[in-house]
Amino acid sequence: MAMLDVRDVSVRFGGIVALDGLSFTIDEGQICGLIGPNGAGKTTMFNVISRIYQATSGRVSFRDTDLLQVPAHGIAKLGIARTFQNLALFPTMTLLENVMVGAHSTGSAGFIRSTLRIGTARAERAVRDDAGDLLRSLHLDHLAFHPAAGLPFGTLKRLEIARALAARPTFLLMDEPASGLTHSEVDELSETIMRIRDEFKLAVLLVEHHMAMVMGISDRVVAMEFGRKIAEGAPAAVQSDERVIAAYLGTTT
Amino acid sequence: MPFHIRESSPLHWVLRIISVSALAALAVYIASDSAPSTLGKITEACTLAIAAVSLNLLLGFNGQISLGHSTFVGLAAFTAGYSVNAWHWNPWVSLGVACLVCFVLGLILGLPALRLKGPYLALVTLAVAFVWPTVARKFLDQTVKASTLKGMRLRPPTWTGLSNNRTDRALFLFWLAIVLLVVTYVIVRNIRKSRIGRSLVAVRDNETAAAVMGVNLAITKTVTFGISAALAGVAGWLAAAQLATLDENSFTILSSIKYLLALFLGGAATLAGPVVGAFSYFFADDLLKTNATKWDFLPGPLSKGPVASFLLGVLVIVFVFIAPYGLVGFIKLQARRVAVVIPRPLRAAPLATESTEHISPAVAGEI
Repeated sequence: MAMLDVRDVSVRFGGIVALDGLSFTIDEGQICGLIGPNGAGKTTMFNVISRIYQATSGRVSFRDTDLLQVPAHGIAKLGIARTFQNLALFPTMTLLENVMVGAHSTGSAGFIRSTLRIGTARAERAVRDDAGDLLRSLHLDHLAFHPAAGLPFGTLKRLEIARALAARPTFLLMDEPASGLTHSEVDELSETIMRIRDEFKLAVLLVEHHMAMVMGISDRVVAMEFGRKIAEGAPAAVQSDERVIAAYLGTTT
Repeated sequence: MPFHIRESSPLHWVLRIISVSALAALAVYIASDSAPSTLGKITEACTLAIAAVSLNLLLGFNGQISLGHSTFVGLAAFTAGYSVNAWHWNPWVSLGVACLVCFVLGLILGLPALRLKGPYLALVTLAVAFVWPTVARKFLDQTVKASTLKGMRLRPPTWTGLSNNRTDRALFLFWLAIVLLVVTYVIVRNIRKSRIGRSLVAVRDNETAAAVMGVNLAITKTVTFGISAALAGVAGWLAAAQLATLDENSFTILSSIKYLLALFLGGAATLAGPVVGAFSYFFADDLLKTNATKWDFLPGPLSKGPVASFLLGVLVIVFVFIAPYGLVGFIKLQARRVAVVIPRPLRAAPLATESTEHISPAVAGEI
């Protein structure tokens, strides 16, 4: 059975149809690229899975759980983490604290235990140590005690990945991780995604415009246009699909 | 080059212990050598500090503005005063009840705060602060049949060795205020330095991201509102213990503004900020009020009006330009030139696996 099963999902904002009966599946450990021209509905799909938007109709199941019944703050516990396209970090916090917030769903100390500090020391130390390891793994450890505000874009994009991994996810959603990065940073990012997939046994849903990167690292690619799926399959097959080429370059007929 | 101090190193601990002892020694010195009126002023400053600390938890760390904190302080004062006077409750029990009542009202006020932000939330809480004196007035009319409610009078317990005269009561109240301020401070400090504290700041910085990380926004925001209100209740109870009378004008919107001013003067979202701010504000205000009437160097119209308020206003404006991050922010910036605390380092990188595998237990033993 597929890990993520998206079936006939539609989203309407007033009269605008953002998603129109979209279906696809992702298996465990797979990197799935979601491509399409601007306005195709990629980010909408993304926000449906991460429970920021409500689907008008359809079903999304994640390992036997009906995802559309889970509140936004509940997905982290299921093992789903995400990064944001335009950075959604906590600017006043240090990099270390940002990653520690990422581990929120793994902790259990509530208001009372936190106020009285009952049995929180060990968990706090473990969270801090793990966050430090993640920062090192993404080459950010030298900035651990620096506030996130004011650091270069590429650095903060890596911080987003470190923060998402702190929840020990098994499914990572990445919204245009390559946007705004330089050429060499994109190459490094591809390697990073492959490395963390193997290291953390992740499945990845990758929404991306950078074709070379998507085709280079995806196991499977889903192409969208106007809220519908127009092609699906191995990267090479999707790349040569007539409708995909038409969607990107336009047709002469 | 600033001097480097490693966090949690012996030197760091020594410095911490010295500064806490110095503060304690200062309190002991003041207690032994001050008139009851001075002790009363410090008690009042502590009340202001507790209210500012409670507001800091909500506004500084969680980013929810409240202009209604005067209502929580007033509600607690009235709850305590009334239960002690009318029902002859033990004043100490009334502290718990007053905090609980404030906690519940805080939770309720936290509900609209889920949908409102910034100026809109300020407006809703402002309305609450405006309504409170009217509610208090009605309450006084119907139940007390007088325009005032007597404050409660705490008897110093026998183990303190203090008798029940005016001087000793002032001394007892002074120490009680210090203890309550320390307790409030420690509660807020513990929350800030925990998993919950990080989630509060995360919600302030970016709600969507915080929710994706697993933070329940509704619970976090309402419970923070409740706790902040309960801590403001501590300040209200203390005010009821100090004031001879409580009337509906004791806790108006002006008190809320005072808490905000104290908070921002000291530095919002820092732990010590509201305490430093409250004491600075209180004593600057006090100093100006007692001395300004003697100053005749001011030009004609100014020397006749409320000079103290005018000068305090000027001081605040100047201060905001000099230290936009508050007194504590300013002090921290200056202190960084002298000494820097280096945070505890991250866990060391694990040794590469192949190098550890090569060392068999026998060989390791030889080394």
